[in-house]
Amino acid sequence: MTEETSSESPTLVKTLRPYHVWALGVGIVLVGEYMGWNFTVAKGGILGSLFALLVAGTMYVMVALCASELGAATKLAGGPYDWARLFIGPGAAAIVGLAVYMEYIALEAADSIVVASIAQSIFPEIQVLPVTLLVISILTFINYRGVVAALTLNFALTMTAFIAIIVFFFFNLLGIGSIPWNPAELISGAMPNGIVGIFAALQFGPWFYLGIEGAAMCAEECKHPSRAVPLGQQAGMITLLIAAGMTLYLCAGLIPASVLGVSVYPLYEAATSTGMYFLVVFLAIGTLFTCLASANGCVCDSSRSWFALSRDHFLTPWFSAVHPRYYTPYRAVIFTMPIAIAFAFSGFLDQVITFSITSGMVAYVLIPFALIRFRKMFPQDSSKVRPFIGPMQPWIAYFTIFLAVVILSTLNWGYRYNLIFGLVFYIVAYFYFNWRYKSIESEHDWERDMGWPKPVMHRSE
Amino acid sequence: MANIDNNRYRSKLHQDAGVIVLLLALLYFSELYMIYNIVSIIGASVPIPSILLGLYILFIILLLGIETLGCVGVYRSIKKHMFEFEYYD
Repeated sequence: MTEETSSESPTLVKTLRPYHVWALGVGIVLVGEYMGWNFTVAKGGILGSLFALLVAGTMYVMVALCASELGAATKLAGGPYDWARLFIGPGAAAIVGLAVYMEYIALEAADSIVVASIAQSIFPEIQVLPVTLLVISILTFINYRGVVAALTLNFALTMTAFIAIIVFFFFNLLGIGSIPWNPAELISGAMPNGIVGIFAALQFGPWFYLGIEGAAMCAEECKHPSRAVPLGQQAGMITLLIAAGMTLYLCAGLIPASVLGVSVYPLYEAATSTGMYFLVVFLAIGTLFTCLASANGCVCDSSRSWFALSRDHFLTPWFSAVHPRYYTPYRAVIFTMPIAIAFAFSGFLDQVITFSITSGMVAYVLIPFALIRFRKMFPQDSSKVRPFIGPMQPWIAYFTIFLAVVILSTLNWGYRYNLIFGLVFYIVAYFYFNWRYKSIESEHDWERDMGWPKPVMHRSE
Repeated sequence: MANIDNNRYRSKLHQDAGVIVLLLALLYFSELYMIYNIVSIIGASVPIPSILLGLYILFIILLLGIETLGCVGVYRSIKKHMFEFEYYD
């Protein structure tokens, strides 16, 4: 007996393995350890950053478990979009699909700008915007040519960047090269804005892990999704927790908190402060690789979200075509390029990043909600319906929603208008798509689409 | 399922488990080391609010506990379905 996806999608090739899932999830997110997370220090000092790391880490562990269970069950390319479509409704599906798309496309734009900025710092004569365009074009082409090649590349890039953090941490721990890790830096920057700053730091906590749920979006292209998705996603989540803890510890003792809070490349700056040429070069390579891996993974995930929206007629079905030779959703892949370029050329990088976080938080409310609905509709734990069963559900799902709302609300400190704009955008999208989708399709044929029995609420029909 | 090599499957399952156990061990070590050092160094010079200390303890227990339970769940799932879905062929 082989594992099959019952929905008719014979054109996407099923070749991915757990390490590809790991590479997709960690590849997108590891850039957050190299840059971005340190804004938690600007808000709440070292103690605020530690608090954000733990609270956001707990939320993401639970999001990853919800995503593992849903991804292993549905085995569809849309990931969070498909879960919302199947278990909540068309309005929620549309806003999750859009939120995930915007989250990744904005991140791709930000990553590409950083790659171009690094290139400019090495070769000052080049311009940032043309290189940004070049990076986006090359990554789009790689994803157009095939998912295996794209994610194998991501594996190599991500593993190198992760090993760089591990090596840096153990050099410090074992005292190799007399790294000047100074406890006084922790004390001077412990809690600059008091207890309010500690809680305000939560708004940047997601940077440590933002996007790990996207690992499940390659489920439809996995050889054995019920093994690859949970295994790859949990390994990925542990990897990120390890990297986050090590990064905070290293940077907190090597860079003064006032500098760390506004640093563009904190981990690289920490390596520079050691004066060890090997570490400086290794962390510079890690910074470059992790940005490329993140942008590459974002092209993959955002195109799958767009492909899934198109396949279900939320968008024109033209985007749901699969390439006859490379077996990729090539039109959806190519369409990521103009959107990413528009974000990149907008010139508002911090606004783009905040919109990405807001979009992620919207998804983190709806993913556990989809899981709660899924368990109510299909309480049986048969191999066909639910091959992976997460622990302590649905309590974990309820707690995830609570933490996501708490973290989302902390954006009120400093990003009130971004928060309002983001929420209004998704509320309008919810009502629009709820109205539009009702005219296309209102009932699922569970047996035909998923190979599942009817849900509990329809058994009596 | 007649052609499945049981020994090979057990070996592959142990490899999957080994990777996760290794990562979990590194996670426990790095998180506890990092938190202990940061809190003890800062706590010796700056008074840390007791509610904050309580929240640190609560969330580290939740984080490590839930992740560990999740990994046990993944292991059980693979063990239960590996022959049925021919994971290692």
